Amino acid sequence: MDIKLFEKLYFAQIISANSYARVKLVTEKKLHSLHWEIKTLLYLGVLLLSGGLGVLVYKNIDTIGHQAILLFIALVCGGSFFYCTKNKLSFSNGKVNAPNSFFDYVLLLGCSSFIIFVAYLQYQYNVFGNRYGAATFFPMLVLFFSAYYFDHIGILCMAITNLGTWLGLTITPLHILNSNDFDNSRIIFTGLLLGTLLLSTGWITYHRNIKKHFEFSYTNFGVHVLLISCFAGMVHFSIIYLLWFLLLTGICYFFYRKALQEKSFYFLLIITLYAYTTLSYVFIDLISRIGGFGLGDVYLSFLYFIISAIGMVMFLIKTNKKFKTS
Amino acid sequence: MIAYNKTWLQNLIIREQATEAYAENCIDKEELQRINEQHPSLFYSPNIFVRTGLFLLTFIILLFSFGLIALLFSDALDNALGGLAIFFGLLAYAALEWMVQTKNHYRSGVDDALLWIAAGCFFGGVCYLADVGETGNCLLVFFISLYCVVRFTDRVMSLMAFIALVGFFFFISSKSGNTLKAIVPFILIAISAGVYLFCVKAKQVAKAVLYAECLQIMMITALIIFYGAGNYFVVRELSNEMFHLNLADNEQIPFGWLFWIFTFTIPLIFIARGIQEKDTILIRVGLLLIAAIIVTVRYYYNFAPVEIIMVISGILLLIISYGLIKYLKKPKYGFTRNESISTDLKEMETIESLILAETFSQVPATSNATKFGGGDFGGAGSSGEF
Repeated sequence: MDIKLFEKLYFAQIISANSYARVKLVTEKKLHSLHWEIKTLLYLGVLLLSGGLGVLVYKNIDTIGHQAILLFIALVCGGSFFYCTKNKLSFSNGKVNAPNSFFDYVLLLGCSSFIIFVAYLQYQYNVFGNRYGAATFFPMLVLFFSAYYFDHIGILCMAITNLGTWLGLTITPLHILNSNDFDNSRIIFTGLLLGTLLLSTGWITYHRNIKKHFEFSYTNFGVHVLLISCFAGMVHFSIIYLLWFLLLTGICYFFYRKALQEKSFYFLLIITLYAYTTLSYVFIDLISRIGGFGLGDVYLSFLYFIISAIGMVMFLIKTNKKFKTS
Repeated sequence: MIAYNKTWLQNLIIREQATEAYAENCIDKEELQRINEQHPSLFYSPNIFVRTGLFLLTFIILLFSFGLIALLFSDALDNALGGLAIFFGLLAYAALEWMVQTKNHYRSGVDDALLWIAAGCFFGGVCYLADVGETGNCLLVFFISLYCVVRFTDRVMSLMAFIALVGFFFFISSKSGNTLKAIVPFILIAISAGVYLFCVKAKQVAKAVLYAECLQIMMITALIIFYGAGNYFVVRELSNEMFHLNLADNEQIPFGWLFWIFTFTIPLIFIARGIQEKDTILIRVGLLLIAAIIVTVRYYYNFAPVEIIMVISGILLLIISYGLIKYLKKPKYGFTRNESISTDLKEMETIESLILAETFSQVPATSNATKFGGGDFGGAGSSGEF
């Protein structure tokens, strides 16, 4: 805080002498926080260690050293979980804070080394045989359990993406679009199913009051998976695409209401963008079906983009105002 | 000079300070309200998500408007393109001034998009018409972005201006005689040191308070360029590439030892100064550059496979941070491990959780990788930091 500024405010009699004295005291005694620096170091430490161990194990398969490496991974994993169980605060349905910031990352280390361990067992000894699903199902269970038992949103997000992998979808934020082959009806229906599942879990989480703060993660992943699958469905099943379009519109409208209710700018933004992309797709598709995309149609589509985007800008500005006044 | 309403900008800073003071329990709610009432700020600056949406949409509008105009001239596009771009840039600039002055947009996404399109089109147009080469282009970018910084206090534009300035000196000295060529690293070091010191001085000037964020960005960039200009890897590979030295694989560059010393000591000096001065920027940049030391050394001396280094440095990092947590249990020398009140915890937690999902969730799928269509092979997060 800028003492000179508060001095001015004090002389202008906007703040009391007491308040001014407090500002002065707090500023002089202000401690410099290293919280985020330490957190970043911890994060990098876990990322490097588990990444390194993962590569190490694969590179050394079939050599004498690999059992030692495996033992080391098991020790890291066991040690981490032991530390977490020992230090954790007692479970509750509400939010339980971590005892310290070290705890969160030890748990992360435990979970990621566990995944490496299971994957290795499957690779080398074929523990799960040909039931490949089991090899991803088992770590997923452990992740979900740890997320709830130790109350860790990061682990929950890992568990959700793992659930996607188990069903055959990549749903990590940056890979959802380019790692999946959305031109495939199986993927599309899996996506619809997964999205609905996540959204209903989010709903139950919130309304039954079981770890209420987990709701955002479920809903966030759910909305993206559901809408992307719907959009893919619209492109893939081009004959009945109006049906998909209606479905998409319905979902968007539902979440628009939800965003209004919860005053969530984030959901407002993503819903607007999804709805706009869909609308533009349908429009371009329509004029190319009717006119065959000659020069006139190019002009028309350019005009469409300009006018519709202006409309969207006005919509966003208006909704933003609605948020503020209501 | 600044296009936005200056009093409102200053009031914005006062309001931020008051909110912080309120969060720290220094002033009570009535005082906060009184401060806010007496320091109005009527800008239209929506929250970050709406801003993103407005930015994207404005961008789309401008893109297709330009396309539409270009279509009208499509017969003679080659001749007209440069003039058209400049014209469109000026048009966007006029719209920007109008949005800022009559509609009071401030960091709303609309003004950001207009600013970038205006500057980009203007630069592109001039570039297309007057082919002035690398040095000229750098100078052009420098003046355009400097203008944008001065008038619109845009942070990323200040970064552009600085980089263009460095680029200008780099190209001009590398194209002239051999003596200048040999001291290019030192010229760049001197420039970034100069800019850094200038920013430190400028930050203390009361009038510059509206540019504080730009200055901060420039300080971070200055520190990184300062280090980069003297880093052994950058100097060796860049001079090899630019001046065709044709070095053998293990051949040193002239004065190689000097650059090695620089590579090793600068990050440590940054961190030490940062701790001494309690300067967050110096500490963070210093920590980042420690990674640069490791990467540089590892590039030339293959003393251990990457995964071993990853494991060892991972363990070291965990031990160091555990030590720090224990050491700072009670605040020491004005440092604490606890969070300062002003950071918004909930949002940061959400962002962090998404980062974790992104970096740790590449499940090492086994032979079923194709069937299940996902999951990169090879260890969680093996795409690590090295």
